[in-house]
Amino acid sequence: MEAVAEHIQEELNVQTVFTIPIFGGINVAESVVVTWIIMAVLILISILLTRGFKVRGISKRQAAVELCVTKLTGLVEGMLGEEAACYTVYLTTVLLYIGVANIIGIFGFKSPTKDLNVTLALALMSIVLVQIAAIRAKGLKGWLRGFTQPIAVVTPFNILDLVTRPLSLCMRLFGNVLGAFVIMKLIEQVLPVVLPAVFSLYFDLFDGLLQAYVFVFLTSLYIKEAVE
Amino acid sequence: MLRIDINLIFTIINLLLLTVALRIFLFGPVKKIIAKRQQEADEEYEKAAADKAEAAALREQYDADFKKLEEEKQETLRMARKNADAEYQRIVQNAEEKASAITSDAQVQAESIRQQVLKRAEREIADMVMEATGKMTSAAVEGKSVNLSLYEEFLSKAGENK
Repeated sequence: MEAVAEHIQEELNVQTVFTIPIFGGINVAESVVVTWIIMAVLILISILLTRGFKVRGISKRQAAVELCVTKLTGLVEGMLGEEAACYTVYLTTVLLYIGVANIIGIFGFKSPTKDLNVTLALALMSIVLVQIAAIRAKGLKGWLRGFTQPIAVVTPFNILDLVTRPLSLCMRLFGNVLGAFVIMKLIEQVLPVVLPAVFSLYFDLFDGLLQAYVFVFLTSLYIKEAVE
Repeated sequence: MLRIDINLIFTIINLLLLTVALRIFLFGPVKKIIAKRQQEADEEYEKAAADKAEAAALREQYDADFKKLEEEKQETLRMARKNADAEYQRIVQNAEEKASAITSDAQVQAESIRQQVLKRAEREIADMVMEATGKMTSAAVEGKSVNLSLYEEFLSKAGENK
Protein backbone atom coordinates (compact mmCIF):
# COMPACT_ATOMS: atom_id res chain seq x y z
CA MET A 1 0.00 0.00 0.00
CA GLU A 2 2.88 2.30 0.76
CA ALA A 3 4.27 1.61 -2.66
CA VAL A 4 0.98 2.67 -4.18
CA ALA A 5 0.96 5.87 -2.16
CA GLU A 6 4.51 6.61 -3.20
CA HIS A 7 3.69 5.95 -6.84
CA ILE A 8 0.70 8.25 -6.73
CA GLN A 9 2.73 10.88 -4.91
CA GLU A 10 5.36 10.66 -7.58
CA GLU A 11 2.81 10.92 -10.36
CA LEU A 12 1.25 13.96 -8.74
CA ASN A 13 4.50 15.80 -8.36
CA VAL A 14 5.02 18.45 -10.97
CA GLN A 15 8.45 17.78 -12.37
CA THR A 16 10.72 20.48 -13.70
CA VAL A 17 11.66 19.52 -17.23
CA PHE A 18 14.41 22.06 -17.72
CA THR A 19 15.69 25.29 -16.24
CA ILE A 20 16.22 28.48 -18.21
CA PRO A 21 19.53 29.83 -16.92
CA ILE A 22 18.46 33.46 -16.44
CA PHE A 23 17.38 35.37 -13.34
CA GLY A 24 18.89 32.64 -11.21
CA GLY A 25 17.24 29.85 -13.18
CA ILE A 26 13.58 29.64 -14.29
CA ASN A 27 12.13 26.20 -13.77
CA VAL A 28 9.89 25.16 -16.66
CA ALA A 29 7.36 22.64 -15.38
CA GLU A 30 6.18 19.48 -17.12
CA SER A 31 2.69 20.96 -17.44
CA VAL A 32 4.02 23.85 -19.53
CA VAL A 33 5.91 21.50 -21.83
CA VAL A 34 2.84 19.27 -22.24
CA THR A 35 0.83 22.44 -22.92
CA TRP A 36 3.28 23.27 -25.70
CA ILE A 37 2.77 19.79 -27.11
CA ILE A 38 -1.01 20.23 -26.92
CA MET A 39 -0.71 23.63 -28.59
CA ALA A 40 1.51 22.22 -31.33
CA VAL A 41 -0.89 19.33 -31.94
CA LEU A 42 -3.97 21.58 -31.98
CA ILE A 43 -2.35 24.13 -34.29
CA LEU A 44 -0.96 21.44 -36.60
CA ILE A 45 -4.32 19.66 -36.81
CA SER A 46 -6.03 23.01 -37.45
CA ILE A 47 -3.63 23.85 -40.27
CA LEU A 48 -3.98 20.39 -41.83
CA LEU A 49 -7.76 20.31 -41.50
CA THR A 50 -8.43 23.79 -42.85
CA ARG A 51 -6.13 23.43 -45.85
CA GLY A 52 -7.69 23.95 -49.28
CA PHE A 53 -11.08 25.07 -48.03
CA LYS A 54 -13.56 25.78 -50.83
CA VAL A 55 -16.86 27.60 -50.99
CA ARG A 56 -18.54 25.04 -53.24
CA GLY A 57 -18.06 21.33 -53.83
CA ILE A 58 -16.57 20.82 -50.40
CA SER A 59 -14.84 17.63 -49.28
CA LYS A 60 -16.05 15.40 -46.46
CA ARG A 61 -13.14 16.62 -44.37
CA GLN A 62 -14.19 20.24 -44.82
CA ALA A 63 -17.81 19.40 -44.08
CA ALA A 64 -16.80 17.59 -40.88
CA VAL A 65 -14.50 20.42 -39.75
CA GLU A 66 -17.15 23.05 -40.50
CA LEU A 67 -19.76 21.04 -38.62
CA CYS A 68 -17.53 20.48 -35.57
CA VAL A 69 -16.31 24.08 -35.37
CA THR A 70 -19.81 25.48 -35.91
CA LYS A 71 -21.27 23.16 -33.27
CA LEU A 72 -18.51 23.96 -30.76
CA THR A 73 -18.66 27.73 -31.22
CA GLY A 74 -22.46 27.52 -31.32
CA LEU A 75 -22.46 25.70 -27.99
CA VAL A 76 -20.22 28.33 -26.36
CA GLU A 77 -22.04 31.20 -28.04
CA GLY A 78 -25.33 29.79 -26.80
CA MET A 79 -24.01 29.84 -23.24
CA LEU A 80 -22.53 33.34 -23.60
CA GLY A 81 -25.52 34.99 -25.21
CA GLU A 82 -25.53 37.51 -28.04
CA GLU A 83 -24.10 40.41 -26.06
CA ALA A 84 -20.93 38.54 -25.09
CA ALA A 85 -20.49 36.61 -28.34
CA CYS A 86 -17.08 38.25 -28.91
CA TYR A 87 -15.54 36.03 -26.21
CA THR A 88 -16.55 32.86 -28.05
CA VAL A 89 -13.14 32.20 -29.60
CA TYR A 90 -11.28 32.39 -26.28
CA LEU A 91 -13.76 30.17 -24.47
CA THR A 92 -13.87 27.62 -27.30
CA THR A 93 -10.06 27.54 -27.21
CA VAL A 94 -10.19 26.95 -23.45
CA LEU A 95 -12.77 24.21 -23.98
CA LEU A 96 -10.52 22.49 -26.52
CA TYR A 97 -7.42 22.97 -24.39
CA ILE A 98 -8.91 21.63 -21.14
CA GLY A 99 -10.62 18.81 -23.04
CA VAL A 100 -7.37 17.67 -24.64
CA ALA A 101 -5.37 18.34 -21.45
CA ASN A 102 -7.70 16.17 -19.39
CA ILE A 103 -7.60 13.18 -21.71
CA ILE A 104 -3.95 13.42 -22.74
CA GLY A 105 -3.13 11.05 -19.85
CA ILE A 106 -4.42 8.25 -22.14
CA PHE A 107 -1.45 8.90 -24.43
CA GLY A 108 1.04 8.61 -21.59
CA PHE A 109 1.51 12.31 -20.85
CA LYS A 110 0.99 13.84 -17.46
CA SER A 111 -2.18 15.92 -17.69
CA PRO A 112 -1.35 19.67 -17.33
CA THR A 113 -4.57 20.20 -15.38
CA LYS A 114 -3.00 18.17 -12.57
CA ASP A 115 -0.75 21.18 -12.01
CA LEU A 116 -2.29 23.87 -9.85
CA ASN A 117 -0.43 26.50 -11.90
CA VAL A 118 -2.48 25.60 -14.97
CA THR A 119 -5.89 25.51 -13.31
CA LEU A 120 -5.11 28.70 -11.41
CA ALA A 121 -3.97 30.39 -14.61
CA LEU A 122 -7.19 29.32 -16.33
CA ALA A 123 -9.29 30.57 -13.43
CA LEU A 124 -7.43 33.88 -13.26
CA MET A 125 -7.86 34.36 -17.00
CA SER A 126 -11.56 33.63 -16.65
CA ILE A 127 -12.12 36.08 -13.85
CA VAL A 128 -10.07 38.80 -15.57
CA LEU A 129 -12.15 38.19 -18.69
CA VAL A 130 -15.35 38.47 -16.65
CA GLN A 131 -14.22 41.81 -15.21
CA ILE A 132 -13.09 43.08 -18.63
CA ALA A 133 -16.45 42.07 -20.08
CA ALA A 134 -18.24 43.90 -17.26
CA ILE A 135 -16.14 47.06 -17.72
CA ARG A 136 -16.63 46.99 -21.48
CA ALA A 137 -20.38 46.50 -21.13
CA LYS A 138 -21.11 48.92 -18.28
CA GLY A 139 -18.15 51.28 -18.24
CA LEU A 140 -15.77 51.73 -15.31
CA LYS A 141 -18.36 53.52 -13.17
CA GLY A 142 -21.04 50.98 -13.91
CA TRP A 143 -18.63 48.17 -13.08
CA LEU A 144 -17.70 49.75 -9.74
CA ARG A 145 -21.34 50.46 -8.98
CA GLY A 146 -22.05 46.79 -9.72
CA PHE A 147 -20.27 45.85 -6.49
CA THR A 148 -22.91 47.66 -4.46
CA GLN A 149 -25.79 45.91 -6.19
CA PRO A 150 -28.46 44.96 -5.24
CA ILE A 151 -27.82 46.72 -1.86
CA ALA A 152 -24.73 48.41 -0.44
CA VAL A 153 -24.45 45.92 2.42
CA VAL A 154 -23.42 43.09 0.08
CA THR A 155 -20.41 45.04 -1.25
CA PRO A 156 -17.82 43.05 0.78
CA PHE A 157 -19.33 39.79 -0.45
CA ASN A 158 -19.26 41.00 -4.02
CA ILE A 159 -15.58 41.90 -3.61
CA LEU A 160 -15.01 38.50 -2.03
CA ASP A 161 -16.61 37.03 -5.15
CA LEU A 162 -13.58 38.21 -7.07
CA VAL A 163 -11.51 35.72 -5.11
CA THR A 164 -13.95 32.91 -4.47
CA ARG A 165 -15.11 32.52 -8.04
CA PRO A 166 -11.68 31.91 -9.58
CA LEU A 167 -10.74 29.83 -6.55
CA SER A 168 -13.76 27.59 -6.99
CA LEU A 169 -13.16 27.32 -10.76
CA CYS A 170 -9.52 26.47 -10.17
CA MET A 171 -10.06 24.01 -7.34
CA ARG A 172 -13.01 22.28 -8.99
CA LEU A 173 -10.99 21.49 -12.10
CA PHE A 174 -7.87 20.61 -10.17
CA GLY A 175 -9.74 18.46 -7.65
CA ASN A 176 -11.72 16.59 -10.26
CA VAL A 177 -8.69 15.75 -12.38
CA LEU A 178 -6.68 14.83 -9.32
CA GLY A 179 -9.48 12.74 -7.86
CA ALA A 180 -10.07 10.91 -11.12
CA PHE A 181 -6.36 10.23 -11.39
CA VAL A 182 -6.07 8.87 -7.83
CA ILE A 183 -9.10 6.64 -8.25
CA MET A 184 -7.80 5.32 -11.56
CA LYS A 185 -4.43 4.52 -9.98
CA LEU A 186 -6.15 2.71 -7.10
CA ILE A 187 -8.29 0.68 -9.50
CA GLU A 188 -5.18 -0.22 -11.48
CA GLN A 189 -3.57 -1.46 -8.28
CA VAL A 190 -6.60 -3.50 -7.27
CA LEU A 191 -7.22 -5.14 -10.64
CA PRO A 192 -4.83 -4.32 -13.46
CA VAL A 193 -6.89 -5.92 -16.24
CA VAL A 194 -10.32 -5.12 -17.76
CA LEU A 195 -11.61 -2.96 -14.90
CA PRO A 196 -9.28 0.03 -15.52
CA ALA A 197 -10.31 0.14 -19.18
CA VAL A 198 -13.98 0.40 -18.25
CA PHE A 199 -13.45 2.99 -15.55
CA SER A 200 -10.99 4.89 -17.72
CA LEU A 201 -13.86 5.59 -20.10
CA TYR A 202 -15.61 7.44 -17.30
CA PHE A 203 -12.75 9.00 -15.30
CA ASP A 204 -10.39 9.86 -18.13
CA LEU A 205 -12.67 10.52 -21.08
CA PHE A 206 -16.13 11.44 -19.80
CA ASP A 207 -15.05 13.24 -16.63
CA GLY A 208 -12.22 15.01 -18.43
CA LEU A 209 -14.53 16.39 -21.13
CA LEU A 210 -17.26 17.11 -18.58
CA GLN A 211 -14.89 19.21 -16.49
CA ALA A 212 -13.82 21.15 -19.57
CA TYR A 213 -17.48 21.81 -20.30
CA VAL A 214 -18.23 22.77 -16.68
CA PHE A 215 -15.32 25.20 -16.59
CA VAL A 216 -16.37 26.91 -19.80
CA PHE A 217 -20.04 26.82 -18.82
CA LEU A 218 -19.38 28.56 -15.49
CA THR A 219 -17.05 31.13 -17.04
CA SER A 220 -19.61 31.97 -19.74
CA LEU A 221 -22.29 32.17 -17.05
CA TYR A 222 -20.20 34.72 -15.16
CA ILE A 223 -19.53 36.69 -18.35
CA LYS A 224 -23.20 36.66 -19.32
CA GLU A 225 -24.13 37.84 -15.85
CA ALA A 226 -21.48 40.55 -16.03
CA VAL A 227 -22.62 42.04 -19.35
CA GLU A 228 -26.34 42.03 -18.57
CA MET B 1 3.28 18.76 -4.56
CA LEU B 2 1.37 21.98 -4.86
CA ARG B 3 3.51 24.73 -6.22
CA ILE B 4 2.59 28.08 -7.63
CA ASP B 5 5.39 29.78 -9.53
CA ILE B 6 6.41 31.37 -12.82
CA ASN B 7 4.74 28.53 -14.70
CA LEU B 8 1.43 30.22 -13.99
CA ILE B 9 2.58 33.14 -16.16
CA PHE B 10 3.82 30.68 -18.82
CA THR B 11 0.44 29.00 -18.87
CA ILE B 12 -1.33 32.35 -19.27
CA ILE B 13 1.00 33.27 -22.15
CA ASN B 14 0.46 29.80 -23.68
CA LEU B 15 -3.31 30.18 -23.45
CA LEU B 16 -3.25 33.59 -25.10
CA LEU B 17 -0.95 32.30 -27.83
CA LEU B 18 -3.18 29.26 -28.40
CA THR B 19 -6.23 31.50 -28.62
CA VAL B 20 -4.56 33.68 -31.24
CA ALA B 21 -3.21 30.66 -33.16
CA LEU B 22 -6.57 28.87 -33.22
CA ARG B 23 -8.27 32.09 -34.28
CA ILE B 24 -5.84 32.33 -37.21
CA PHE B 25 -5.70 28.66 -38.18
CA LEU B 26 -9.07 27.19 -37.21
CA PHE B 27 -11.90 29.55 -36.32
CA GLY B 28 -10.85 32.26 -38.77
CA PRO B 29 -10.77 30.11 -41.93
CA VAL B 30 -13.99 28.29 -41.03
CA LYS B 31 -15.78 31.54 -40.22
CA LYS B 32 -14.43 33.14 -43.38
CA ILE B 33 -15.49 30.31 -45.66
CA ILE B 34 -18.96 30.14 -44.11
CA ALA B 35 -19.35 33.92 -44.43
CA LYS B 36 -18.21 33.73 -48.05
CA ARG B 37 -20.68 30.95 -48.77
CA GLN B 38 -23.42 32.93 -47.09
CA GLN B 39 -22.51 35.95 -49.20
CA GLU B 40 -22.59 33.88 -52.38
CA ALA B 41 -25.93 32.39 -51.38
CA ASP B 42 -27.28 35.87 -50.70
CA GLU B 43 -26.02 37.06 -54.07
CA GLU B 44 -27.60 34.07 -55.81
CA TYR B 45 -30.83 34.74 -53.99
CA GLU B 46 -30.77 38.39 -54.97
CA LYS B 47 -30.00 37.45 -58.57
CA ALA B 48 -32.84 34.96 -58.58
CA ALA B 49 -35.19 37.57 -57.16
CA ALA B 50 -34.05 40.09 -59.81
CA ASP B 51 -34.49 37.46 -62.55
CA LYS B 52 -37.94 36.69 -61.24
CA ALA B 53 -38.87 40.37 -61.25
CA GLU B 54 -37.48 40.71 -64.77
CA ALA B 55 -39.41 37.64 -65.89
CA ALA B 56 -42.58 39.06 -64.36
CA ALA B 57 -41.98 42.38 -66.15
CA LEU B 58 -41.38 40.53 -69.43
CA ARG B 59 -44.52 38.51 -68.87
CA GLU B 60 -46.47 41.69 -68.25
CA GLN B 61 -45.00 43.22 -71.39
CA TYR B 62 -45.82 40.08 -73.33
CA ASP B 63 -49.37 40.09 -72.02
CA ALA B 64 -49.76 43.75 -72.97
CA ASP B 65 -48.32 43.10 -76.45
CA PHE B 66 -50.55 40.08 -76.84
CA LYS B 67 -53.58 42.10 -75.84
CA LYS B 68 -52.59 44.84 -78.25
CA LEU B 69 -52.09 42.31 -81.04
CA GLU B 70 -55.46 40.76 -80.28
CA GLU B 71 -57.09 44.17 -80.52
CA GLU B 72 -55.26 44.85 -83.79
CA LYS B 73 -56.39 41.49 -85.09
CA GLN B 74 -59.98 42.21 -84.16
CA GLU B 75 -59.75 45.65 -85.78
CA THR B 76 -58.21 44.20 -88.94
CA LEU B 77 -60.89 41.51 -89.06
CA ARG B 78 -63.59 44.10 -88.55
CA MET B 79 -62.11 46.26 -91.30
CA ALA B 80 -61.75 43.27 -93.61
CA ARG B 81 -65.32 42.28 -92.95
CA LYS B 82 -66.47 45.81 -93.63
CA ASN B 83 -64.45 45.97 -96.85
CA ALA B 84 -65.69 42.58 -97.88
CA ASP B 85 -69.28 43.72 -97.31
CA ALA B 86 -68.70 46.80 -99.39
CA GLU B 87 -67.05 44.73 -102.12
CA TYR B 88 -69.93 42.27 -101.99
CA GLN B 89 -72.44 45.04 -102.29
CA ARG B 90 -70.47 46.54 -105.16
CA ILE B 91 -70.23 43.18 -106.97
CA VAL B 92 -73.90 42.43 -106.44
CA GLN B 93 -74.81 45.91 -107.66
CA ASN B 94 -72.57 45.50 -110.70
CA ALA B 95 -74.12 42.14 -111.42
CA GLU B 96 -77.58 43.57 -111.03
CA GLU B 97 -76.70 46.47 -113.29
CA LYS B 98 -75.21 44.13 -115.88
CA ALA B 99 -78.17 41.80 -115.60
CA SER B 100 -80.59 44.66 -116.06
CA ALA B 101 -78.50 45.96 -118.98
CA ILE B 102 -78.51 42.51 -120.55
CA THR B 103 -82.25 42.22 -119.94
CA SER B 104 -82.98 45.62 -121.47
CA ASP B 105 -80.69 44.83 -124.45
CA ALA B 106 -82.47 41.56 -124.94
CA GLN B 107 -85.82 43.34 -124.75
CA VAL B 108 -84.67 45.95 -127.26
CA GLN B 109 -83.33 43.22 -129.53
CA ALA B 110 -86.48 41.16 -129.19
CA GLU B 111 -88.55 44.24 -129.94
CA SER B 112 -86.49 44.99 -133.04
CA ILE B 113 -86.78 41.36 -134.18
CA ARG B 114 -90.50 41.51 -133.58
CA GLN B 115 -90.70 44.75 -135.56
CA GLN B 116 -88.72 43.16 -138.36
CA VAL B 117 -90.98 40.09 -138.35
CA LEU B 118 -94.04 42.30 -138.32
CA LYS B 119 -92.72 44.40 -141.17
CA ARG B 120 -91.90 41.33 -143.18
CA ALA B 121 -95.36 39.87 -142.48
CA GLU B 122 -96.98 43.13 -143.46
CA ARG B 123 -94.96 43.20 -146.65
CA GLU B 124 -95.90 39.63 -147.45
CA ILE B 125 -99.55 40.31 -146.66
CA ALA B 126 -99.38 43.35 -148.91
CA ASP B 127 -97.80 41.21 -151.62
CA MET B 128 -100.47 38.60 -151.19
CA VAL B 129 -103.15 41.22 -151.22
CA MET B 130 -101.60 42.68 -154.35
CA GLU B 131 -101.39 39.24 -155.87
CA ALA B 132 -104.95 38.36 -154.94
CA THR B 133 -106.14 41.64 -156.12
CA GLY B 134 -104.33 41.08 -159.37
CA LYS B 135 -105.84 37.63 -159.71
CA MET B 136 -109.30 38.86 -158.94
CA THR B 137 -108.85 41.75 -161.34
CA SER B 138 -107.67 39.46 -164.13
CA ALA B 139 -110.47 36.98 -163.47
CA ALA B 140 -113.00 39.72 -163.63
CA VAL B 141 -111.43 40.92 -166.87
CA GLU B 142 -111.62 37.47 -168.26
CA GLY B 143 -115.24 37.17 -167.12
CA LYS B 144 -114.74 34.47 -164.75
CA SER B 145 -116.66 34.68 -161.53
CA VAL B 146 -114.81 35.28 -158.44
CA ASN B 147 -115.47 32.25 -156.47
CA LEU B 148 -115.16 31.46 -152.89
CA SER B 149 -112.00 29.37 -153.27
CA LEU B 150 -109.95 32.44 -154.00
CA TYR B 151 -110.77 33.99 -150.64
CA GLU B 152 -110.02 30.89 -148.80
CA GLU B 153 -106.67 30.57 -150.48
CA PHE B 154 -105.86 34.13 -149.60
CA LEU B 155 -106.90 33.69 -145.99
CA SER B 156 -104.91 30.50 -145.51
CA LYS B 157 -101.73 32.15 -146.87
CA ALA B 158 -102.19 35.11 -144.68
CA GLY B 159 -102.56 32.78 -141.68
CA GLU B 160 -99.35 30.90 -142.51
CA ASN B 161 -97.41 34.13 -142.74
CA LYS B 162 -98.54 35.25 -139.40
